[in-house]
Amino acid sequence: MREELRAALRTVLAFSLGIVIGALARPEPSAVLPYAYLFLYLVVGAAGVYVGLSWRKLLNAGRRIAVRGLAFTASAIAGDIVAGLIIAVPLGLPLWLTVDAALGSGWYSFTGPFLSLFSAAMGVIGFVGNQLREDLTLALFPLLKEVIGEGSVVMGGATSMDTTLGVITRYAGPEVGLEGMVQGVLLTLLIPVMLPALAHL
Amino acid sequence: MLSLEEILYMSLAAGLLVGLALSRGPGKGVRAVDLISTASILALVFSMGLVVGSELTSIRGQAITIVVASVAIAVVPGLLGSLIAEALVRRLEGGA
Repeated sequence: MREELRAALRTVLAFSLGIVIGALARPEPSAVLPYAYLFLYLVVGAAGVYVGLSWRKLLNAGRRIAVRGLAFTASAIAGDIVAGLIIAVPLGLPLWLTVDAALGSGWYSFTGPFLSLFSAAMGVIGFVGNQLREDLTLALFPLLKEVIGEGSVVMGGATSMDTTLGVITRYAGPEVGLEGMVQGVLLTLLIPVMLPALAHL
Repeated sequence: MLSLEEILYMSLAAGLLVGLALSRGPGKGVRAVDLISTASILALVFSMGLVVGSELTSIRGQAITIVVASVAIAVVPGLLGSLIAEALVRRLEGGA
């Protein structure tokens, strides 16, 4: 758990440092974005590598785990889309970019930077919201599992294949951990496809 | 010229193939992937901070909306999805 906390602190620090330097130096976004694109491709490529590395484990997981993992994934997507629409309307935010922020499913290092290509405010919402979602899962999963049940694996979203896998396995057992991993892998494959498609609606 | 989406899909597919290849080996490349992943995440988040920082004055007026929306994005999608998942799984397993 300590490594996850350190990783989260590192990214918050990098983000804060960027904001301070950006506010002082006021660089043209067009001068920064080409580099941001390059790093975005690397982040997505590395996520693909992790999915490839997990593939064998998932193939051996068995039918019940695969079916429940698929049900969790479908529920995560449905919940994210509905929640995005519910949040966007009263706050007067761009509808599909807010749905994108919700569909980030905890993958803040992709969602925040991706949305900042369209709007600085939505980039912050995508980053902070999804970072908080991961932190809340780490902190509250044991409680959520008691109150809601094993379906609370969905709270972990895409992070259930890596950062929140430990807490899920510890409090819900190895089988649910594997189901979370199926969900995390599928969401990691789907998010880079869904977000750009919705952003252009 | 390839679009952002096309390059994203290609990156994901290329990463997937590399991961599948690495999963057959002794696992020596995993450390390098960890290093590249961490460095690129930090660089990406930093450059995103630069963009946000450079536009800070224009988004300052939206501070309350940004805070409320961020908290809502952290809580509502996951909770709603969890409730849907629990109901779906119970239904799939015949109310067990």
